[in-house]
Amino acid sequence: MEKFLETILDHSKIWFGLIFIGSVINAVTQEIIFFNDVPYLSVISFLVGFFIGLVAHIRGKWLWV
Amino acid sequence: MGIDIKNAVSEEFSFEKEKAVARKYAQRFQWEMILIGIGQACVWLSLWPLVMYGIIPLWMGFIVASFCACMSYLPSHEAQHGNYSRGDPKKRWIDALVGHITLVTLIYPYEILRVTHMKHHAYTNHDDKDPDFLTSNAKSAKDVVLMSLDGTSTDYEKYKEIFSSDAAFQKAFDKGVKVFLAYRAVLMLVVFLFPLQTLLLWWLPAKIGVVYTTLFFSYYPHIGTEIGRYKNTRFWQHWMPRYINHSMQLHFVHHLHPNIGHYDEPKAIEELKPFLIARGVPGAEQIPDRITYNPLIKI
Repeated sequence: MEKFLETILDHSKIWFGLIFIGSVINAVTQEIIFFNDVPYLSVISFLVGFFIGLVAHIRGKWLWV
Repeated sequence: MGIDIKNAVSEEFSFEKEKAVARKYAQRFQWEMILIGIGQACVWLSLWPLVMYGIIPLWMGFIVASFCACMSYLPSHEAQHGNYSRGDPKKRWIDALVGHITLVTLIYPYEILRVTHMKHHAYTNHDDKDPDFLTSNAKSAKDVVLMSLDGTSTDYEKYKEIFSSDAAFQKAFDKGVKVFLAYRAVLMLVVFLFPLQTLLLWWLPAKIGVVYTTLFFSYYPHIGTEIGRYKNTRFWQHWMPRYINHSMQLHFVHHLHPNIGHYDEPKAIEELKPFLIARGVPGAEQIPDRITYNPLIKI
């Protein structure tokens, strides 16, 4: 259990990107008419979130501080 | 530290006399700080149903939530110093209650902030042991903003290793980690269900609150200061009326006597001014003789 938790925490930025950023992007794109006809919009939104989190994970930080 | 305190200062301004003056202002029960801490958390919580049921628009909720987040640290800060219980074990629950509840808005665990803040007081401006060193000694306000947004300013994990021999620190830190994980879990669940509300009522306001707190509590009071009881925090002036930045121009007196209640600091400073000048507190000569509502604005 502890090992499982550690693995999750080691990838916290990826999880944050996937769940938090993905959810927000998904909600925002649903509100914009321009994206209405885009297929798999939710999947794309969560993938974008995941990618942002992955980049932050590789870089070790979110911003360019 | 002992040598620093007893440094060549006349008997008139001795540490004992300074302490006696400070003690007068460290007695009162700080009901207004409890009201702010619990009050802002209640206001923040009420925003959720108000926004969900369309009683107020989300943008308005965002503004109020951001204000709540900016108000949330100080009540917890007083709790961290035990300034509600004032050494009475029967009243310690007030410290814990206010400390935990007020920080919900900032999404940060009280225990971690408490123990790292105690280390900040013990090792102010020590590059290896002061948990606030990065932000209090940052090159510019812009760097502080970026570090706060990035999460660097509250990334205290490395201090768990630095203070590995301090059992009390470790115990409190581990307790805080559990709260931190619970916060994360709740945040992830809530954002999945209510994404825009979570972004604008919780996450973004918390970021704004952390930026505000780090700038005014950590960065400005310590710019250009050194190591040493009377040298590690300064008196400074700012274009903002002092009630907008939590009177952090007066933060130096908190470093000297952390048990003085926040709202009693102006009176304490007026009486302590000669002591502070004698000790060479940075900027002490510019302290007004009488601290009213806004005498600290830089004109």
